[in-house]
Amino acid sequence: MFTYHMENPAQDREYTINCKRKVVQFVYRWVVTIRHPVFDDVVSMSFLEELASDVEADCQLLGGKSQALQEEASLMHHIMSRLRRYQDERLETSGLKWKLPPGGQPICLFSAISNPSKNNRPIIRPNDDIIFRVYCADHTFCTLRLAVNATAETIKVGAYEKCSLRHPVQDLRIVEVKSNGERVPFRDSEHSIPTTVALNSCIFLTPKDHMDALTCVPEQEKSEGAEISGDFDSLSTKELAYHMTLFDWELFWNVHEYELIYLTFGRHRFQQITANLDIFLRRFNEIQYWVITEICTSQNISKRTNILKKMIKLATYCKEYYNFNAFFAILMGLSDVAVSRLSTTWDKLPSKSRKQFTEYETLIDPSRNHRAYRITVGKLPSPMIPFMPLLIKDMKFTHDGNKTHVDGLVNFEKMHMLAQTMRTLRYCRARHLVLDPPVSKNEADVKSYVSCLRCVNNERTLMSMSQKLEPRRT
Amino acid sequence: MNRSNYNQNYKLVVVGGGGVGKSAITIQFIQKYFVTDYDPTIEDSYTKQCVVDDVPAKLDILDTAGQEEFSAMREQYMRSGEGFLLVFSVADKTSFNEMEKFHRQILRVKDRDEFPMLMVGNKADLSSQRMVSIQDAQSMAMQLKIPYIECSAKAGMNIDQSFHELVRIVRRFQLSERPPIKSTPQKSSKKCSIL
Repeated sequence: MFTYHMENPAQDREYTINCKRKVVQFVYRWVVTIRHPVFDDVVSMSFLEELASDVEADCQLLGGKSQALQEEASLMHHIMSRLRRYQDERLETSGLKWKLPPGGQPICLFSAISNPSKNNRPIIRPNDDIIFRVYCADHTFCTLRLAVNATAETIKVGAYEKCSLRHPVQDLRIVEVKSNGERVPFRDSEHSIPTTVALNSCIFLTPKDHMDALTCVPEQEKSEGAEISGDFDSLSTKELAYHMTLFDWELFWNVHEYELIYLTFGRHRFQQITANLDIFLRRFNEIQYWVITEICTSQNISKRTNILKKMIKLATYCKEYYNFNAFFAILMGLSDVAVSRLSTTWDKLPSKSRKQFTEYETLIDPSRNHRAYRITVGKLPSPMIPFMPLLIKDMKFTHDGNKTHVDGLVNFEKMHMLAQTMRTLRYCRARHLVLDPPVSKNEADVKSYVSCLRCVNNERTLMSMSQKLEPRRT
Repeated sequence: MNRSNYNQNYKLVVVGGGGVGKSAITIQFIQKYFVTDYDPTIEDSYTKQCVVDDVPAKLDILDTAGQEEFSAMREQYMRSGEGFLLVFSVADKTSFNEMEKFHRQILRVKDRDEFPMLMVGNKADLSSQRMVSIQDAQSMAMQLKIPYIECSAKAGMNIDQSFHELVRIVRRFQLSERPPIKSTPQKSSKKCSIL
């Protein structure tokens, strides 16, 4: 505001107007680039209001004589109408409820606003509610409904009131128990726990000194994939790839570039959530473990070979759709030891599929900083879904490898580099994803199948399943 | 010793839990002699040429930092690795307890009973915050049958030594493996796929 009103009597009028113009144009660029976080911030919102009304006033003042600031006034008008539209939308979708099923599968929309005109997946916001379970050591549980950004402390108190534990609340802790039995305690101040826990993890409430006694609940260990695995066989591969890509695209679309910053620098510094990014990242694990699970739950060798072949075909389609996140996940699932050691199954694979797989392996080869992949995607047009874990790594190493401040000044080189990676995200989404839908046989089935890929993610369990299928030769 | 016994390119993998300072070790090693900013998106940002025991070596370092959540992805990285740095923080007991897990995973992926590895205790400069004693670390290393070294990425202590030592371990291993069964399958079939 100060710059906008900086009027120097010594300068001529032309100069003053030019300054104002620059301020408005800069603000416009800024808003268009950052979008939602600007509108969500109270300070920047009131700044926009003030600037808009001042530009309006100036415009009227000068209006008679010249066209000065006309253009700027319309830019501000544009911003303000975007802001209003955003606020209306917010109001309409406020207080969404999300549900975290006990299996720890991705969050499903529980009861959304009924707005059939938009069937896009909504963005998760800090104040949305999330419904999830908190377990006690004896595997009894209570169900909580809290804000997405609730702290571990809030969860603790909420669960304490519902569960009857004898211990005083200050002796209790919130702990994540992973499907392999690993336990990860949360500090009281950590927030958005339900969306950050790993695949198939459960949240536990436990006295501090009993943490080591926690065990997985049966749902976490059960191979739920087994009962559904029949489906994969019968569904069209192309249709699966198509709906998988649409689903992944929606998850990807909802990730704001800022979430990369929050994740890299630490969410606690910004008091922001990274739920949309977390869920998209978790999708990678979900796909990868699903691939392993599907193969390791097929008892019959010819069926298993068939699934292997189908998975390679699925990867082919994902690659054609530029869904590199899923492509990498499938490929890495296939090269997991539990799958790659099944030599009898691989031997039966048609040579064409085998050749394709070998070719794809060179694309995911991490050597020389993922050279093969970086070169390939560097030449491709948007839209595409990038291999997200690599972008996360780039952010991390840019952050760790460069100081944020040098001699008390902000290190712009570093900021440019971070922005470059964030811009990749923007580039990938510069155009909307439009794909020719394949001939549909059972769209609803495929859609619901890809939205929740059941999987076992305990590596020991998978390995022993694999060993049962093809015992180790001695 | 015959030079041709050595494969001069080494793929080294850095593993360890989150927050142990893996990335700092890698960056410190790669970047030491550079004053410019570190851009991790370019091809050379994880490679380094050095001379170990008078023999040149080109290292391609695969660091899994920032990707700890992708547990199954780690296996993919491990497959290509010829030597491993198992990093924990001496100021973090949990990260130390994970060493066995990483060790086991590497052997499983490689389907072998032993493989070139070096256990590295980072943040050794934080003596007041030390949670893992040298004795405990050494006995763990003994149990895993791998050597142990302490370093500090922050103080620039023992960083080069760690990587150089790992190169020696890999060389010894590759020598003992003769006749070589070694060459990784990916290497032979490196074709450029153009879309």
